[in-house]
Amino acid sequence: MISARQVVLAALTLTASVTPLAAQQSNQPRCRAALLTRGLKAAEISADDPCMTLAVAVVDAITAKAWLEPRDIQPSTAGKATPAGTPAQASAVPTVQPAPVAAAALAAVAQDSGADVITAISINPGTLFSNSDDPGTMARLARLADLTIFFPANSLDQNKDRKIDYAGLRARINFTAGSQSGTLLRRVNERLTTILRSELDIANRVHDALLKAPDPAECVQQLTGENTIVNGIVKSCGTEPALLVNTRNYQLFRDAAAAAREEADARYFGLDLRFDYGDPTLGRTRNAAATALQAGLGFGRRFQPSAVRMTSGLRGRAGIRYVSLRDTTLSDWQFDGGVAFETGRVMQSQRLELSAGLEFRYSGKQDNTEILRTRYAEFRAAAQVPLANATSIGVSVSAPFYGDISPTLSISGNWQQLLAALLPQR
Amino acid sequence: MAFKGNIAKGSQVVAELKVGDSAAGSALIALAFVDNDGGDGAQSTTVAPGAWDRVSVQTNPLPTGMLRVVIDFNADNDSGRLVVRVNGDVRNDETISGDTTWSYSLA
Repeated sequence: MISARQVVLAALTLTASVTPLAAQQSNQPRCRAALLTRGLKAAEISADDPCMTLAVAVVDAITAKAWLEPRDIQPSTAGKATPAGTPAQASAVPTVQPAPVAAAALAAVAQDSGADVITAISINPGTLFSNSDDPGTMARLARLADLTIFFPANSLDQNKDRKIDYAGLRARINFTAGSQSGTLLRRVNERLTTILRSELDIANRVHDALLKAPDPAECVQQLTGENTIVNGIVKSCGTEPALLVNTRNYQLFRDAAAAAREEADARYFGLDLRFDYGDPTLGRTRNAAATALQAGLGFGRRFQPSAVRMTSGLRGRAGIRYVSLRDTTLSDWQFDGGVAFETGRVMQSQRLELSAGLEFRYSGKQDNTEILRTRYAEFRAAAQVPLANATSIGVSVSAPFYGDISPTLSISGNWQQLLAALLPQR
Repeated sequence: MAFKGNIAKGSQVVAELKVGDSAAGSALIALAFVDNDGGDGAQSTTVAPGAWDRVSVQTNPLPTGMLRVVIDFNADNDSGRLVVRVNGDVRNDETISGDTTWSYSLA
């Protein structure tokens, strides 16, 4: 990888020497022969100016180190299985970006009523059940939607009333997968053109030298470092060259390219659907068992996305929730939402992410707010720490500052399957 | 890194990238040329894992120059398939792994 510190300046100055025109022209067949020797097919060599082709081959070789750059970055854009709106929720405001194929999470949660373990499994039905073998279609499906089912891991019916204590479904539909930024791509194009312009300058100098070189093939070997002998460049090229490659331009291109890739995955807007059955307080509140349906919209945006430094962004969501209590005749329509700030950076193959924000629920009913779980606001903070490849660990806390709900603490282990498990490589 | 030979001046060049299904994230494909009459052209786009996309440029008929295709993958072990077409004909078609750039002379 070329770091910003590694700005290597060298000069390629090919001093002109006077060579008869006939000698210049006679070098074209020799350039052609050198290219054939280097493995090019006849059709890949310019018929008019083989020395120009050979000159670009030289530039390609001497700038190779500037282009090659090992990177180990991977922005994590896939959703976790940890269910939104439960004590196991793994971020301040959860994303609606889906899991590409499948994901699972095991979350230890603690609240006023004690501790419990919630298991969640997410599947992407689009990729799992599609008959399409078109990778493009599968890629869109992988970023479009998923379903999550969750339930307590220790017991489904702890109170032995022959009803599930608590379980639910979540659906995430992302409308903006694959969005791109034209502005950043234009910057990529400008950077690449700048590099090519400087490379063409070098190629032109090499081209002129090859036309006059006593031994073009040997000259190429000397210039590219394939064969170095004392005074070999002067002998073969007829001139003393120095290299001038400004690798800063290559670094600027890399930065622009990384930013463009990050930008493509930096925002989302989609549908957040939730179904809950049972007691979300896990026994803390009597008669709180309910059936609840919620439909909402979620959005997220990272600002100035980058693969090499910390970035920050905002997430928000808003939705309407209908709840009907199981053990009473109470029902309620509620407004549910949240907003959070997130920050993080790419670490190895995933994203380390910290988030903090507020979530709230409001309805007109002023009574029974505890069992209806309404008229509250809470602070939420969470951290997602990558472990390796597609696994991570998350810690999430919530603390109410208005209303009568329990604070929560959740520690979750997350795993996700990659699309590679479903589709063979072409 | 690979030098792929010469492309005739005045050609239309299309580069097509299909990113591997197991890629860690979006890749970037960029195609650009410059020539000795001051002409240039560039196009780039990002490609999601499992998807494909193409970019193209129209080179100028008279001046010599050079052209590059650059693939910037999300992770070092990401792979894909890169196809370069010249005036509609396949010029190069290879499976690539990790960041890749192909260069051509325009002469």
